[in-house]
Amino acid sequence: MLLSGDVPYPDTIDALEQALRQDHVIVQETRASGDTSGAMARIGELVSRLPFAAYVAVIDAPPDVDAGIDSSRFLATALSRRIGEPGLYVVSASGSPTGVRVIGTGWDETLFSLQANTDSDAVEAASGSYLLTPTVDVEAVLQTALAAPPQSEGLDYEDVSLPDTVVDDLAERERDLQPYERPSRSDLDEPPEPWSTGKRWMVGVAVGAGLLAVLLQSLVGWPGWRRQRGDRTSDRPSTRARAAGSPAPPDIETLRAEAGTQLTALAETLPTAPAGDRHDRAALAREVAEPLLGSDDVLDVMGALVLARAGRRELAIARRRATAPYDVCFFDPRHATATQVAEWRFGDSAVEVPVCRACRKAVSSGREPETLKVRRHGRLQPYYEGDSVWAQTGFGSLAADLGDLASRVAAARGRSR
Amino acid sequence: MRVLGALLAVVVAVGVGLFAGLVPGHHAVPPEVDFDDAILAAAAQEPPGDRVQAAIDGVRETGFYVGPELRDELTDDEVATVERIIATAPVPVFVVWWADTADAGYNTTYAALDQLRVGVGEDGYYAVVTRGSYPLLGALGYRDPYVDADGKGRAGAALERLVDELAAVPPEREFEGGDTRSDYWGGTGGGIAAGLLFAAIGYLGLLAVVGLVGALSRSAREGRG
Repeated sequence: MLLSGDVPYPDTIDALEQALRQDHVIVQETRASGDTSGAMARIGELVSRLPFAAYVAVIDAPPDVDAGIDSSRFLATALSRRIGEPGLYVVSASGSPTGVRVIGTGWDETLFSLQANTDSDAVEAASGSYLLTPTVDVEAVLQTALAAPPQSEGLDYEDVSLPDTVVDDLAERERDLQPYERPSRSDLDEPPEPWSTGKRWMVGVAVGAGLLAVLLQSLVGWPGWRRQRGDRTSDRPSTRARAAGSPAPPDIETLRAEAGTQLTALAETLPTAPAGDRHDRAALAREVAEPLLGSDDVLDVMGALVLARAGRRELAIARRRATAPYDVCFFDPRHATATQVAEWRFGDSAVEVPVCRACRKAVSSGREPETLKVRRHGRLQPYYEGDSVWAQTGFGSLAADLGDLASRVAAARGRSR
Repeated sequence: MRVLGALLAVVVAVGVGLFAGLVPGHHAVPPEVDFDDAILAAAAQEPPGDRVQAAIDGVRETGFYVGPELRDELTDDEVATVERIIATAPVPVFVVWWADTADAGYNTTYAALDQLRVGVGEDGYYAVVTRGSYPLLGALGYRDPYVDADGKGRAGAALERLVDELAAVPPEREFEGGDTRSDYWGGTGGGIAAGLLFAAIGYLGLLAVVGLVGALSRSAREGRG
């Protein structure tokens, strides 16, 4: 066998055929993993020990081969047909797995290929490589041929046919022939730099300014969130609710005393007031309010207070000492007189309710107005979320006038008895 | 009361900002690692395969080496022209022209260029060229050269254009000594500007999220009511 030191680089399959007829082993520098002469010597030695001819090409596929991943198999077939000699044809072309043809030797080509795959897998596993370098892969094929592979289906090709020493030798060579890889920047394990002046300013300003913004925003309140009750006292306009001293549920006994005082004053004024509609409404208010005075429900007592005040205002108008009826703020009758309206949502619908100036301001800025709340089912709820007559009438803010309010309260009391 | 709260917020924010900016990140200044020096040191640890060794030996002789797979591609005149330009260049030029491969002892052309520079070891411009591709350029002792020659066209003409441009690159010696690291954040002014920007982005983002959650929870509450 001839082994040429000047390796040919055939441009066509014809030229490759001619080159292989002359040198049965061709290993090109571009595929030899940096050890061309060593690979040629090792492969040549293996070829010389085979019981039949072998043609081995570890090459870049000639440009006229257009078989993609099947290029090696295609070239092995094409060369076996063109050369026409019985023997083993092994081709490893760039970009495709090694192709093997066994022609005219009496060997079962399928069983041989399966055995060669098993042996190559064993070398891969021993070397830790997931894909053998081209020359080592070809060596593994030739070693399989030398190890007398199974030639009938009764033998198990899934067992490694190569001796352990051969597997270890090939695995060591596989490790030796691994290509040199340029280290990446991340491989250099550069120690972290200390913080620069700019970074210190960046971190300090970002943390400080961010924290300051959050703290100041928390002081003025976050948009979309209502402030907690009691955390805003100094910037609120004066209201009777504040005068009462606390947004907590009103004390029923205090209310009762005030309602009693107001009712007494109403009763004393009624006999001397001019007769007429206003007198009648005031009298009705007194009549409805008096039974409420003894109620255990704080809303009823609050209602008595509202009725008494409204009745007194009616009499004052009749005496021309006042001009406007008593208009309570929807959110809390203890607030200032309702001089504004505000849109308020009840479920899916929005309605306009009479409110004091402070509540109007709160609604406009997205905050919850200070609302009369009562304890229901263990927690404080706005009175208007209940089903009392006071929720339905808004303590008169939703009624047509005092007469309407008194009538609806009287009707509700009648139903409840 | 509100003014007092604002003052307290300012004091807290300034204190936390000072802590965040001044306390962390203090350790000894490590020496600057030059990436090019590091990759050359790594390449020196690995003996080149026969293909790169042949290229090293080839460029040492004439400055120009052609891989065995391309030996018939250039005429003698074309080779002589390239070698003549290289010989008269003001800076040593080393050019390897071969086919691209990952099965010849190096996994990328970059790795081959590193091994070539280490193997030759002379100051100058280095180029590893594959047919039809922009050449891979490097240098020893000089700043990396830049050329417009893109490797397109007939092989001889493309190589001649490349070495012509390499020979015309103004020789600029590589910067040596001193720390070339710069302040990424641009010093005091840049750091403050970046910090304000990040704080504004974070604050506005938080504002949007809190507002959205508040609106959604209120909507859910009203829906239940």
